[in-house]
Amino acid sequence: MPQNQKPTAMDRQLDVLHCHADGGLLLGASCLTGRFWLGSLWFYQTPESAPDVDKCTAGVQLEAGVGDAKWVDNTHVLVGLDTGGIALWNLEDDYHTFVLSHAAAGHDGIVTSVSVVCDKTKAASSSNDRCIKVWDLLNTSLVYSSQAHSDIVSCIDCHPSEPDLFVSCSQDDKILVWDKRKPKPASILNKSPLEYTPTCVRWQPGQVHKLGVGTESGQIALLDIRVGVDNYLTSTPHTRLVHNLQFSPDKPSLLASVGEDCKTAVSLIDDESIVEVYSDTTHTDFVRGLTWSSDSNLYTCAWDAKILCHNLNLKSAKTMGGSSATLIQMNGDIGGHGKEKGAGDALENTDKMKTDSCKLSYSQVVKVNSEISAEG
Amino acid sequence: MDTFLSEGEIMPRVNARASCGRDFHCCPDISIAIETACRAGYDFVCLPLVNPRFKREFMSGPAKDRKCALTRSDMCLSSQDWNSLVVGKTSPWFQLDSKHYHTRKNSELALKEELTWSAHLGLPAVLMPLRSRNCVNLAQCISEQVTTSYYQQQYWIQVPLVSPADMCDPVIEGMDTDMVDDKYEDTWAWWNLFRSLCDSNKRLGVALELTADLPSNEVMERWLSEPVKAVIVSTSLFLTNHKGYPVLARPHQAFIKQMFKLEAQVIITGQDRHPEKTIRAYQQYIDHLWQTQDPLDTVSQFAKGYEDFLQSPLQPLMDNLESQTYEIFEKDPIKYSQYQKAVYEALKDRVPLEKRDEQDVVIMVVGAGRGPLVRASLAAAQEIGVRIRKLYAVEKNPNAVITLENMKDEEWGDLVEVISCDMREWEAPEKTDILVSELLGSFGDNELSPECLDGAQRYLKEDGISIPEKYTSYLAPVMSSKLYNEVRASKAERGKPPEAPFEMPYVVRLHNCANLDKPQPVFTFVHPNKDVVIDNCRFKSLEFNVSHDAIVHGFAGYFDSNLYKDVTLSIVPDTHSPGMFSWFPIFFPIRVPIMMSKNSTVTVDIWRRCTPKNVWYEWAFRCGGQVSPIHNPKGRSYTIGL
Repeated sequence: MPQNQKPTAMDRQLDVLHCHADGGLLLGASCLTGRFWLGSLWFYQTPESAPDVDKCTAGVQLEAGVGDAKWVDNTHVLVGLDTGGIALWNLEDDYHTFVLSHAAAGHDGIVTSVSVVCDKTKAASSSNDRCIKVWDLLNTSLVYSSQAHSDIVSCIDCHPSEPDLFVSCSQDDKILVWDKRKPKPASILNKSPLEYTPTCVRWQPGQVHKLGVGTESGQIALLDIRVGVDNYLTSTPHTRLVHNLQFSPDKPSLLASVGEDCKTAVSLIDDESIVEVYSDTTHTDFVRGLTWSSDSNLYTCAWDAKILCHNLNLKSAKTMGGSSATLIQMNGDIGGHGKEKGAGDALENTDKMKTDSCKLSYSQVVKVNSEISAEG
Repeated sequence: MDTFLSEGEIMPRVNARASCGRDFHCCPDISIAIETACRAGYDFVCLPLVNPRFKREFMSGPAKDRKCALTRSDMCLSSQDWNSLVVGKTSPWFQLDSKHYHTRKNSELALKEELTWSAHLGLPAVLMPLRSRNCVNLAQCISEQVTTSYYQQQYWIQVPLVSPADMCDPVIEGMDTDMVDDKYEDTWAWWNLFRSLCDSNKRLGVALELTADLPSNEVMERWLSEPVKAVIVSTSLFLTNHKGYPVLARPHQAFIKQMFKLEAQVIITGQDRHPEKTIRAYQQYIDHLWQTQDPLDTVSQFAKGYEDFLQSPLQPLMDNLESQTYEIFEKDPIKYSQYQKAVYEALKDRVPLEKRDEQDVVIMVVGAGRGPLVRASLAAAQEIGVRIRKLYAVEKNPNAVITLENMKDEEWGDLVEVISCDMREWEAPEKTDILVSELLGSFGDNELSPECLDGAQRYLKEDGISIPEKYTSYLAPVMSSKLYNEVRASKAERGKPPEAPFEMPYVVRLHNCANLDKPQPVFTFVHPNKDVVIDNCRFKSLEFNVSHDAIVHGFAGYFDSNLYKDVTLSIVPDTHSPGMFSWFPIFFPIRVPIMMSKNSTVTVDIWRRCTPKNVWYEWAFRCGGQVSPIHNPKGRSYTIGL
């Protein structure tokens, strides 16, 4: 399949969502069940069309699920894959074609998050393999790698204005603040305000020392990385793990959070407290992707295959991609969409071909191999 | 003699090549994964049972009602492939021992879901990691699974040789990394806790994860006693040789070769770091390690297939041996040459050089069997040039006597007299210069050599020589969950108490087993016994120290013997007669394994008890506050008949 060909169907689990600086929408989707566990990357010049396959501006099939993806600049997208791979894609042809710029084998485990350094020359990644790695975006060559956590690293975030600073958190219950200028770059952040294990971390824009943290229990907190500074704020807008946090770029006192309770929440942070100002429970599965389009407009995507547009002023959420009556061709669905004509047929055929090739007995292959090696 | 059952009931398994698997942390397309692995020479693959990112909610909320298949269909592969090629892996996000209720509960239910699925697929094994000592709840879940599921699936518990926390790069401020030797957390203790909670279930195995740094040898040797099914080797551990091929450092090679002896398979994990040589190069290297293993020594070759196989000690006094058994013992290349040497030395001392023309000697071989000692004695006499007036070959087994009579007719002539009689009852026509016997068991006196020779020394001249003249038994504590499980699995015979399997010694080729301390001498017997009143009862207390946390599953017994002066036989590991295979060690089990912390002491008390009818051992253990009952009181479970 040519690299730039648009996939015929949307993958069911919508994992990643990022607004383009000029108003478009980047979508990363994965198929986590079914025969093939692949992923896809999409660009919609009109966000309202997402996740309609036919209305996408560009789309490309990926070799595996998309753990995370970030805009590097106007046209480049950094993708972290379930294979552990790191890839840099470029939107060419006036945003109509994804072209692979560079790729690296990356990690020995699923990439859990990627984050671009503020000077856009490098990016950091975190993984199930307990490592964090820093990549040169010119050619995705490895600049730095470290295993400082003793368990799955669930999230990494580069500082919005300091190129040498980033933060990582792990299932080992640690938050590490990294400063590449120091001889021993990592230091353990006091996370005592958190009741349980941190699951995601995000720098607050416009602040040098402030961090938003989400935990497995649904708690969110604003922490200060300075040693001895003990001002922190916490609140618990969720009843399950917080998967993603985003401060509003235009109004950094607004913190949106999504999680495995299927809820989207927006909290207002002032000097003394964190107060929930918006909440929505329209999603019917884990909410994963989250992006602000303005200080009153928020998009979320979830494993229920839906993208929602939340209007904070109206306090309402709208399902995008047309009315819910429109059937969207979906990978990994157990529903009866396969009977549809057109694009669906092609998919069915490739599926069938793959099915047939699968039916070969690999025990036979092993036998043949061992015979060969016995002779050799 | 005390080696093994004569029936070849266990066929030695000799693998021509290493068994090597390929691990995939992510598997977008199962057919491609299996095909690439098989084409690259791998024998099996490790695959996630469910997409490793596909978390589920079981408690409440809309996600609980998710309408979606859990994972890919079982029809993706033939059932033959599922149950011969695929080791399933549980999801990496499981935290069965999380402090957080929802995390823990969802992990429990999801684990159950995946294990049920793996049983449905008929996978041979499921691989799951132990991440820390904090594994009690995981143990409960697995224990429940093992108890309730009928399917004979194995659970491979992945344990790193060094904990991930100890493997961290020294990049964290304020964390001191230059600590003393025992800086490492003991990951064996994680496994020990987990396995003990699961009552050492036989379906649990270890998948050891090789780490860049290795702990000290003493720490690693304990793994030799564990059911290690696989060694997981990351491609990141491989170095590159001058031809560009992946190779492992020497300590890693040595460890893998040690694990090969336990028939552990190797699993290659991680990305291909030598793309020019392809992923096949790792499998080829592992196979190279397999092919370049040190060749088995004679004893190991001989014992192939009998490793850790429990056998009841022979009772040659009570039962008559079979032809096949004699044949096997006669094949020992060392034993009879040592006997010949001993007879030679004894004759040399008995008849000085200047008297060899006039003085002749009488030799008695008691327990002559099919005649190997007769042959050795005659050869020794010929070699030294001492004349034998008469050699009496005394044998109680009438079937062996037939062989002896034939040998006499065909070879030995009148020089040899065959006596079909029990040596204890025989009325000898004259006294002998040298009394030759081979009545030793794996624990020296356990085939009642003392009682037999005490009975036979009546017809030994006052200054006569007994070959052997002395033997000593030895004991050492061993750790082996394998043997413990083997004993536990055997049923008590009718009329014996239920604990009988734990109250008898076994002859066994110790293999999946770690020695925890050096053997110490137990009982010594000297012949001829000149004591006024002969008492073959014995009692001994021994103290052993262990250098690391360990479990004592029992005691290994050995013996050594001075046949004559410095001509010896030994099966004590440090002094083992090279190439001699007539005796495997003996194993004394314990009903309840003893947990020992490092640098602690275990005391074993052992008795040899005798009556006119039989002989038996009783034994007991003391360690810290733990005291075992005396095993085998009054020989209720096991005696040796006279």
